[in-house]
Amino acid sequence: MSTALTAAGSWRFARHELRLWRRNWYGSAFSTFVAPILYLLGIGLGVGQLVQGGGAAEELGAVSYATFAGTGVMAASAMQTAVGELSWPVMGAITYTRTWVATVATPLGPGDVVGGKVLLLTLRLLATSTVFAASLLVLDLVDPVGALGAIAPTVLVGLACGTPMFAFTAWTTDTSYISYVFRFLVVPMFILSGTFFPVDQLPAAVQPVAAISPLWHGLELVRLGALGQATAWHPLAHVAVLLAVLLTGAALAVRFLTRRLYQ
Amino acid sequence: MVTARGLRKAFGDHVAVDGIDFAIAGGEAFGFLGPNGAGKTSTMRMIAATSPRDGGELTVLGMDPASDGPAVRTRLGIVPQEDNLDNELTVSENLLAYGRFFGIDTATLTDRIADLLGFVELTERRDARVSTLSGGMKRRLVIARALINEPDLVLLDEPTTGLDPQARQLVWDRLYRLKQRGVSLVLTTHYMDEAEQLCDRLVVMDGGRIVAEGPPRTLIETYVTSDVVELRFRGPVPEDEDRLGTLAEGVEVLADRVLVYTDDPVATISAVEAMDLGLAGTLSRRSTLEDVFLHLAGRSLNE
Repeated sequence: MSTALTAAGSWRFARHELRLWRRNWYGSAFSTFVAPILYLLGIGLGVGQLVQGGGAAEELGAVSYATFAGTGVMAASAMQTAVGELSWPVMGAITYTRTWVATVATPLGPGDVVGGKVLLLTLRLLATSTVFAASLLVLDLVDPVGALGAIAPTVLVGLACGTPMFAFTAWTTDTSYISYVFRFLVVPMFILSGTFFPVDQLPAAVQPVAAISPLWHGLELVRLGALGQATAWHPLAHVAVLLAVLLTGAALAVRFLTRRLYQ
Repeated sequence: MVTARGLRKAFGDHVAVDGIDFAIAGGEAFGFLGPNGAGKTSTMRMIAATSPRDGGELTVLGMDPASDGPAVRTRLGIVPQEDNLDNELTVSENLLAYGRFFGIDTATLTDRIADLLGFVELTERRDARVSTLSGGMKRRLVIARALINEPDLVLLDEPTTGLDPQARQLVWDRLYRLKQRGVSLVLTTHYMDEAEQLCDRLVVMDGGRIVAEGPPRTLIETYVTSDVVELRFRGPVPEDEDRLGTLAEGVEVLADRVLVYTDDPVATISAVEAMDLGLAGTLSRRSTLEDVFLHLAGRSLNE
């Protein structure tokens, strides 16, 4: 079967997905817009008052806790949006509503579905991270240059977390495995990748484990873009890791989705 | 339109389609008849370029589905066994979204949607959400959807399974009209009456193989007698079919009744009644494809 991901086909499918999203974006508005900002207010500003009385802390790279956690939640919520969008809805379209079975009976193929879905996710991540960056700016946690600089790395980390989830969902036929991924991978990544505290606060033996988390690489880049903080590795090395994960995830997603829909 | 030679499909150790040959000409309604698991759907999916074949040759509209999948699918209309409409969209939005997957512009689609909704009698429901439609309406909408790209060939996988008699009649009527317009139809079914009503020619499949081929009437004439007398008994079905066998050309003993194949039903009925078998009743009817299948496969399609 010809399963190639074509630009024209991906664009066609992305436009379809965009129309669907415009119809019911408000359904996901709470989880993508409001919940992260509640995190920001509750943990960033609330807990933040307990760290140096809300002032800059040396361990956080000379920024306030609210700034540190705010940029952390920005990247982590991009991860949440991406893995959320490329898990249950993908399972639904393959297994329950079977709408993708109809889609791939047209000139569009599984590759175009993956391409379109990732294109639309990029757009959604751009929208949510722009809103989030504006919130950080309004709360005076970053300067305007930092707000702008945080957006591209946030989109990148979202995509790098999303495509492997897409591949996994297309591969598995057991929905409970998706819950396991959330429970045993996404949640630990959220907590331990440096969202709420620098990973060097972890026991030394555990610290290298952070390097396998796309979110950690993303957070290094987000805090570089937003705050000008030095990164653990060369910035391009972090970018390379995220791009490699993103592209591997996308390639596997095409392969597994093709196997599922064109058996 | 479609030619297959030695077409084969396997899922692991299970051979679903076991080297079949067939040819479907333009303008005809061609049927795959057989019980569940006969390999009908697998064959249809290979023709539809949504399932790679594991062996043999297959040409659809002059192209190879393995290498020209998108080009083949552009010219096909697909009515799948299970409805896969988008329940969150309205009737017309479903057609619009699907049409756009073919790259058809909105103005053209708007005209076609109006025509197609009229054709399947859903104009009044055009703004209704799909989730509010009855089973029969959904089926008609899926048929309209399959026509949105003005296909050269429409593939229908069990188009009326699960519909009530009235809804079936309406679907059959629309398919008949399509056929009259010269649209080529390929359908799978396990309803004998559907195959007899709609198909110009059909193949009977069983266990992944083709066991018979021809126009419905020819198959009936070839494999069974013109009439069948069904015998039902007050008690269990008697086991001495040898005695019944002397009455007619063929006898098929089923769990609840005995079928006697005969060209002279009146004489057969009086002969049977003279035998004093404890009959609860007799029914004389014309032979159908069900009887052909019973003859070929030695078992009921409904098993």
